[in-house]
Amino acid sequence: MTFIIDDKHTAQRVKNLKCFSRFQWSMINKMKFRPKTFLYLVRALFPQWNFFDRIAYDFELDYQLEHASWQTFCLDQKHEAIGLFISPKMNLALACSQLIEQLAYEVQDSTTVIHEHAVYKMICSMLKFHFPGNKIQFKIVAVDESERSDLFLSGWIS
Amino acid sequence: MSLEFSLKLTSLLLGLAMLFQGIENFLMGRSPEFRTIWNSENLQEELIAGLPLPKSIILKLFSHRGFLILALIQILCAVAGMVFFHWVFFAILLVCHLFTCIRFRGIFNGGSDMMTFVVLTGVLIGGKMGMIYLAIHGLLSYFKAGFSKLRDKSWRQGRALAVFLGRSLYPDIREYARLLAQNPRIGLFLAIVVIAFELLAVALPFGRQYLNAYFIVVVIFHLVVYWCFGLNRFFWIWISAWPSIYYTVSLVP
Repeated sequence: MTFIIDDKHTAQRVKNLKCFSRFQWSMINKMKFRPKTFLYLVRALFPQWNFFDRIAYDFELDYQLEHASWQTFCLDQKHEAIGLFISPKMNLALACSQLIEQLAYEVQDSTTVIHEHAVYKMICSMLKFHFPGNKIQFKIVAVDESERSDLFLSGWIS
Repeated sequence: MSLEFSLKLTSLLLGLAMLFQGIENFLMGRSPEFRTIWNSENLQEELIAGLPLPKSIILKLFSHRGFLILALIQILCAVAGMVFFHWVFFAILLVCHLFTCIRFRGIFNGGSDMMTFVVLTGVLIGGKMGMIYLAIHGLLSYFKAGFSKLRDKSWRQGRALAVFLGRSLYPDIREYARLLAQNPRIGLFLAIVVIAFELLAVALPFGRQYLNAYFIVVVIFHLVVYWCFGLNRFFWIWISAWPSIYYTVSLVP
């Protein structure tokens, strides 16, 4: 049995493949894809088991409305009877408290303008949701066992 | 415990955990607070940068409607997985969970998200290998947590527990933290108990006779963690890893 190699068709296929990979690459470039952000978004796939292992700073979100004094944003919850099974309120509050922590880390690590970060926008949305129609300013406070220090102060948000 | 029984029990418990998570996601997705904070306007720039997908697909996948549909698919697949024990449902659950985590910028509920992936992977690998993989991660999760605590000075001094309890979102638990801070000896005793309990996990394969007693302590431990910090997802997903631990320990001569 003999195979007939059709050079014309093979060349066309190679050309098509090259065009396709060039198209894919240009799509990825257009999409502004950043592998570092991708790894950040899928980090739950890489397990780490260091729970409550060291006392780091706790981060609080303080806010002030116009002509009012600073107050700490409260995420307090109550125990619920079916909370062991289904607890959307508590989990949402935990996610909000995680946002505060993420903003604190991004403020310290970031080299870009923090106002463009998703987490900054989300904290602004959270405060606007709880205090609609108010001009509001917030700060992130690092709280240790013995001291409190301001980490970040926002501008006025309306 | 036989391989077949441990696989079925793991699948059942995993399905249950994913069912609860799916219902929570659905209820959260309907809350105005969630819709305001986790809206696509806030998230889209990061998602476009982090996912190699066209913008139009990203916006559809991570819309509010998309999140609710994802939660519904998770609920249906969790129930189907518990009834039919077919790997396809668990593969879909893995995709659902991945998209949920991405929606919450990588992690929604800390370690429970990671353990959910581990249990899902174990069930998908299936057979003896899947159960052993899951058991190793399960036991390692306790040991690693204990070892990290042992290395930390604040845990060795007994201060850490009061500090962590003081950060609970439950005001009544913060009251206990204040009492604990005033009684450092109790704090130290509890810290030693927690560290010893977590470190002992790796000894279980060599002490099969203590497995039931250890499991009872595990259930109490996770219930206490839930009561103190509201981490209900941790309870269900860690318990679902236990049939594999029972099976793997039974393999040790």
